Amino acid sequence: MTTQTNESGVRVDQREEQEFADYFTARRDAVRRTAFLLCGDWHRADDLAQTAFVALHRHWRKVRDRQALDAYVRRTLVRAVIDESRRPWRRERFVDAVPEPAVDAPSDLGDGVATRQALLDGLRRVPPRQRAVLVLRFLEGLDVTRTAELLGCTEGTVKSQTARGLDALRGALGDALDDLQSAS
Amino acid sequence: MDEQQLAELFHDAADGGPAATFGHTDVVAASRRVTARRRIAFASGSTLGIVVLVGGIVIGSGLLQGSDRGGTQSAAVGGAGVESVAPPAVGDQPRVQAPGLAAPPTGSADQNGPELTAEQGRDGSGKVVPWPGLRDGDARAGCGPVDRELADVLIRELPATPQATVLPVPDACPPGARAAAVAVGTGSIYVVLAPVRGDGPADQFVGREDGAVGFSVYTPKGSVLLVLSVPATVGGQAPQLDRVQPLAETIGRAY
Repeated sequence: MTTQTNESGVRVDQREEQEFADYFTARRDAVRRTAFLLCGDWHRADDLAQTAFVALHRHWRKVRDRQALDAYVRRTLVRAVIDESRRPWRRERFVDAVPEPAVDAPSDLGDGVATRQALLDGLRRVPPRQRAVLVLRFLEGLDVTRTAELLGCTEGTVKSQTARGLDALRGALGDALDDLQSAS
Repeated sequence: MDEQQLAELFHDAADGGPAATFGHTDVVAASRRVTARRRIAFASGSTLGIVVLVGGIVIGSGLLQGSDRGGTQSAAVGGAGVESVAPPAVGDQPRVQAPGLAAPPTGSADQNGPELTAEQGRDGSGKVVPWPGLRDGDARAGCGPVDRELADVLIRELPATPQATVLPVPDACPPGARAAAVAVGTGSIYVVLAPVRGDGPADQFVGREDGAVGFSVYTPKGSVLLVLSVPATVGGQAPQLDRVQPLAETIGRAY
């Protein structure tokens, strides 16, 4: 194990740096996707994802196993999005009518594209904390217990936030969600 | 649509984005810049680049005046507005020889600081407790006896401390708090764990008029854990300032 001291006087273990690099390579795109669904914008998503990886790099030695790494990054992302939503100059406005997308869509949209856009529009209508629950449950595939642990709340809260979030999505996805049973 | 289909929809919605605007080298460089900045800030001792959290009201340091001015919501429970006040520079405060750990600055705040009010959680000793959402009347005298579990965890995380002296935390604490202090170098390190009402605050640095500096984290199980570095004398050098954040984050993960 080779240890060096960098220009800031911090001891750097080359093996640990390589481990971080490997983790980063394996997870960057997934973390960006999570960040995108949490905030709705790819530029902000990259900012959030980079911030999460910087925090992880700074605490790499303290985080023990692979599951803990993923949980650390998710927690950092979610907290950053929720904290950002509380600041007046960045507070999102929940609107009834979603503005037209900036990029022109093909005139013959397939059902898949339309539904994907409807989901994105629906997520924008959902409050940040409910959105986080939905993303953790359905994009990250976390169960109720792990979601509750990550968010620091009870399992009952996760279930109720899931139900409310899905109700809000129904407004965007319509009949397609009608037969979805509440997540357990 | 079942849950599996909904999950596929979520995955599909997150695909097709633009190329990433950052890479591994960007992350490593940013990480080292943050580490270097914080080491410089803590080592200088003259301006502390931290916020002073006073009973739920966040008072911004001079370095944060630009971003915090204008009634920004604090991340503390209760969400009081931010007032930008420059912290007193070391040397402006009269040096008071503190007996042991309890070194309350008596009298009013120094000429550069605010006049503290009853609503800001001033306890009987005159020392303001840095606790999110804590209001006057909530605090109890002392933080109770040493919590052995917290003491053991703290000692384990500190650099080798031969003959570590464990002490009770002498300050006022919120109801339900557990606490322990370890004497280290030029002062002590406190660890305090307490439940909070409502949503927890964002992780943040905290500070006090006596020169104590700490970092609080909102834990996975819904408590706030504070690691506070307290100088032995008011305005003296608080020990291991660069460790308060990693200590709080590491210890807080288990609670």
